Amino acid sequence: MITCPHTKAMTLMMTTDLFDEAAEQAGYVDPRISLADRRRVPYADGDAVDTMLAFLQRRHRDRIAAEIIQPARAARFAAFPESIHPALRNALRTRGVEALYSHQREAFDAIHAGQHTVIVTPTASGKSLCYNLPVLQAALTRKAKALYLFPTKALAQDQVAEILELNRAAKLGVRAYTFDGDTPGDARQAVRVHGDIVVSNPDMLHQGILPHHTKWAQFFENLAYVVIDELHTYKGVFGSHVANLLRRLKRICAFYKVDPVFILCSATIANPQQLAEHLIGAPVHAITESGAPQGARHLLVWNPPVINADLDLRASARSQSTRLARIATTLGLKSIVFANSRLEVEVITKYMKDTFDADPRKPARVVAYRGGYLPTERRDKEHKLRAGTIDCVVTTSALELGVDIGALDVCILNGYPGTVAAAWQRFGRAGRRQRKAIGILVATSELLDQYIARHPDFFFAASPEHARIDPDQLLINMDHVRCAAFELPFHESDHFGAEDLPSQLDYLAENAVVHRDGAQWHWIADSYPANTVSLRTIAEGNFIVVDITAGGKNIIAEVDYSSAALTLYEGAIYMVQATPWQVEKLDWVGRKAFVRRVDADYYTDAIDYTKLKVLDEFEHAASRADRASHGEVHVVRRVAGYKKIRYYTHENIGYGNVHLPDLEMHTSAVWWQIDPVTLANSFATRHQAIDGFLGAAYALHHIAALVSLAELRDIGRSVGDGNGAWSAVVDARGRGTVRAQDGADLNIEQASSFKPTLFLYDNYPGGIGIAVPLFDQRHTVIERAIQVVASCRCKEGCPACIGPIPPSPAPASATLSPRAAAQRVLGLLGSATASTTPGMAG
Amino acid sequence: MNVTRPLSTHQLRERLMQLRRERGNVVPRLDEGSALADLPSNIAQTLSPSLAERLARLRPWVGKERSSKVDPVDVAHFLGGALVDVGVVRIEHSFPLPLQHGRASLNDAFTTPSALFSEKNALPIPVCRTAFLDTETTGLSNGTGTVAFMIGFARFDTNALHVTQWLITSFAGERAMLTALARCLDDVPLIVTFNGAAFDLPLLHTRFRMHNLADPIAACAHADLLPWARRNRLKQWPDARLQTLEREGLGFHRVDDLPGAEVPKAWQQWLTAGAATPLRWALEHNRLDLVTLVALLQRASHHPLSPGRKADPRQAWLFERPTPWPPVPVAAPGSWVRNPWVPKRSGAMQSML
Repeated sequence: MITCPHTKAMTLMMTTDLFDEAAEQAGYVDPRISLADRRRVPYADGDAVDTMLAFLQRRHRDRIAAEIIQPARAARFAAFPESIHPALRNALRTRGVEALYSHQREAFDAIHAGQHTVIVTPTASGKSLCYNLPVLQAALTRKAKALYLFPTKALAQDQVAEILELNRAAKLGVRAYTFDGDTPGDARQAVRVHGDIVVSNPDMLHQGILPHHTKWAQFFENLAYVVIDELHTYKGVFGSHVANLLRRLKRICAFYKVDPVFILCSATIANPQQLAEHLIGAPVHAITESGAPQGARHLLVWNPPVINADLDLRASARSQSTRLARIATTLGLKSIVFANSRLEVEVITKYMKDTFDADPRKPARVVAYRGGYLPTERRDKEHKLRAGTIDCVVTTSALELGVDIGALDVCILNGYPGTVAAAWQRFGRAGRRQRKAIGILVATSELLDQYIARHPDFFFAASPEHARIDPDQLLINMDHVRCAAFELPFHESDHFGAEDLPSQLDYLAENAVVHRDGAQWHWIADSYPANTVSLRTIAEGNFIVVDITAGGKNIIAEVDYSSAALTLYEGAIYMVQATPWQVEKLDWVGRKAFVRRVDADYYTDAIDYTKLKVLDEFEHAASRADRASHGEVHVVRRVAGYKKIRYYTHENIGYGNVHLPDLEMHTSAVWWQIDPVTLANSFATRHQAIDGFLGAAYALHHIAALVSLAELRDIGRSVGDGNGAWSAVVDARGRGTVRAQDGADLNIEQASSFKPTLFLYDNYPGGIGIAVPLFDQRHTVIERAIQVVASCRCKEGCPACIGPIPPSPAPASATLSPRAAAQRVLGLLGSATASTTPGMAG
Repeated sequence: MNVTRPLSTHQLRERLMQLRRERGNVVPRLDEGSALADLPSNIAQTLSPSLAERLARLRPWVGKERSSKVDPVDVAHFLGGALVDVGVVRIEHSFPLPLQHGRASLNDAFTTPSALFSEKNALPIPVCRTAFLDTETTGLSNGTGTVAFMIGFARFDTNALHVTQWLITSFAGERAMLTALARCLDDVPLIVTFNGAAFDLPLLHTRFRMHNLADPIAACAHADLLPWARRNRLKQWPDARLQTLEREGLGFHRVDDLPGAEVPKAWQQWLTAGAATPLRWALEHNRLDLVTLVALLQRASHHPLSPGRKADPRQAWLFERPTPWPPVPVAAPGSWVRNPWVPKRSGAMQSML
């Protein structure tokens, strides 16, 4: 992905003027950028980018762990297909498009030939023309209709605006409408009957279209294309839901006797074709060679300076990212900073605003953009970004997607985002087409980041991750069997995934949801199942954040259910655009948090812990010393309290208690246990063993994320008793504390039984299929963890091996260090060589 | 990429056996002792959870099914009708005119106003060509999963009001029921309903579409009495529901009526437990609704159209200025008007099993 054959183009790309000339000669102007926009957004001064690079290289050579230059790439054009409708050709010509990029032509030909097609090309490579062209062609020549699905409403609106502009340019008469929650009731009928292109999202298809398919009969009878953009976002639970949703869509299509061609577009992932095929359940043709031009890109891995050699502790990534963004802004470059949490976004925004937005009378130069803001606020920020009035935007993954945010010069990643694909996707947001750009990955002190800083090849040469879905996950699949039964009766000969459909339907029949009548199952319950199934999360109900300052009642944000407990507990500081509010009251049942505007010199961070109970062991492998298993577990997560952290110094200035309901889920997990006798022989005290398990869990968790190509947050870790009697967490001293079932401290030395279990679990209700491959790769995971811990340069433990351990007052020789304990545990776990025994044996 | 470990045939068989075991079939038990021998006690009680068990654990539901097999002819007879097709029972009632309904007296002396059909079709429609329609459904939600298991259809001839009801006793009968309805609507230019615009007619449209049949209703004009009722109800009445108008406006009091909310349950109980008595109650409920609908149209048509109001040409005639309802004496429970043709909903529920 970093090698590019078009090195010749590099010299061409050095100055943007030259490129413009070349583009003009080729007669090609990017249709995505209107002339007015091109004038408004001046091309960045190539010198400023070079100045910044030179400055960093001169002053901070020691902090640059790696540097890579992605050369520029020239455009490859292809002629318009002969068959193209004259009106369509005319429309494109008025928009300045005289030729197609090679991938656009390839897509047109494949789609025209009736092949399901996935297009994988970088940001701003003219992807939407790949599907708009065949769709408009079919609408003009044979009145064919198309359904566009975008993961978010904002992207859908962008897309309709683009089609309408093309439409207006030459009066094509093709009608494109969005159909989502915002579509007014009286307009819906018009969309259903007259829409040639209906642009919607999976949630709307799920709740608003499929259960009412008879109202859409006319649309479905003429449906020729289904376009799914941002394919790479359809992974995990969401992707598994959408795959089932598409099974339902295909059933409805079959009912109306159509077989639409699927067109999918994806950012770079390892398996776009496989994901597309898995998602739509049919073979897909993949187009992966982009013909669009691309500016050169300098990529740096930035490792903050060491400030404590004993602990191998480095300066915080946050301060370094802020510093780099300040340099860029000062040099007049436009930058984007990606942080890995919403809290981090607000903190960095505050630091940047302290420098650049000190004068409240001037328009803001720095903005934050993240999930949870109200839609109007987000639209406003998007608009300002496109208009080029913002110099620095701080964001989460929210801007990873194709929201058009104009042209940027510098991209700063505050910490490795957890996956190779996300890192490249983020780097791709800067330096869109014709100019040199800088991308900087600022390493945190976390294990993964330091691993990359030490082995940059791992990152630059690694293939991006596989996007994984499990459409046959039982709970998700059952949800959609219910929804599908509502839409059309099931017949004995039908299939809906790998599970045995008749036994699923018989199960629903036992519960009076469907009724078997001859060879068919009919829906009989008095309910609308799609309303009870959410594609995004299994838990229900967003929280709204209400500002009650000065007796008001303004809604300032929304928070999804799963993060409410971590961000909206009473006492929490909640920030929007770096402005702090304090949560005064949390109405858990009513899903509301009441906040008041405060001036705080600190922010808050939740402390939570997790305990697990084994429900079913599906498979295990055992040696005399240890036993590794995988199966189903019950997870309880509790937010116990929070820390107050002062700005800039990041010192802990207080704690608070939190009393909230537990979050519970069933999922799949891999777990390890050590034979009690071996354990007793290896450790002098149970506390030492607990320290070892906690340290080993930290290392295994991180390595497991690498090996299974999952994000760190996709996997959870926990150390506890196998039946949930107690669980252990690392306390502020870096040592293990054990809590009993009721949350009280437990003296583990006195406990009657002691069977510590190390869990790595799939962090989604029901599981998305991480546990089984992890179980299969457990030897690799343990070997790599042993290597990482053994080769670490710290003394007792640091974020780059077993987690941060503050220096202990006792001399290291007097007690077993957590790091040594973890090594011992890992060594015992690594001894398992026994072959796999299915739990079913016998 | 398959992330679920494929089940071995052994495991699959075990799961299926478990499923069957739960349904009451006898299967040989596994020798579980050997499978459990090498497991420590704190792990995994069950080794091969069945689908039902896994789901019950993840998301428990309640309820049990008992399938029923009874002679459909007996069912039709029990319901007071005849089996006209596979899974379709037709129940016919004729009420000689004039018919007393509460304090309203039904006759054929009224015609439906013609202005309903705007300029295009200004011919008066005699009431004998008007159809009254009311459906009973498996649920109240819109969407393709809601089915009309009963359709009530009423029409006048010169000396009687004829009520035809179709009831399906299995899903297999739906198509025949819809076809029968379509045949009855052949020469009907106007359909009268209560809340049909939002509920009954779109639902029937969906059902016709699901069976790939042409929707005969699309060709008919439609008068929905709900908007009229909303405008003409008196302020002291709690709402504009059919039964409120019937009680307050027409002075008709139902006794022992099956509440509308329980109608879907009647059909479910029939399907899952073979209980036919609730279906009889549902039929009576539907019949009463239809007769009230006729009586309301008669009242509505007493208010002649004042020209010029054309917000919705199909319904403008119903929206005219309210005229007072005749005073209704406060009914003491003993003096409730009870029509002799309405059977009493009483006695123990009778199962057809």
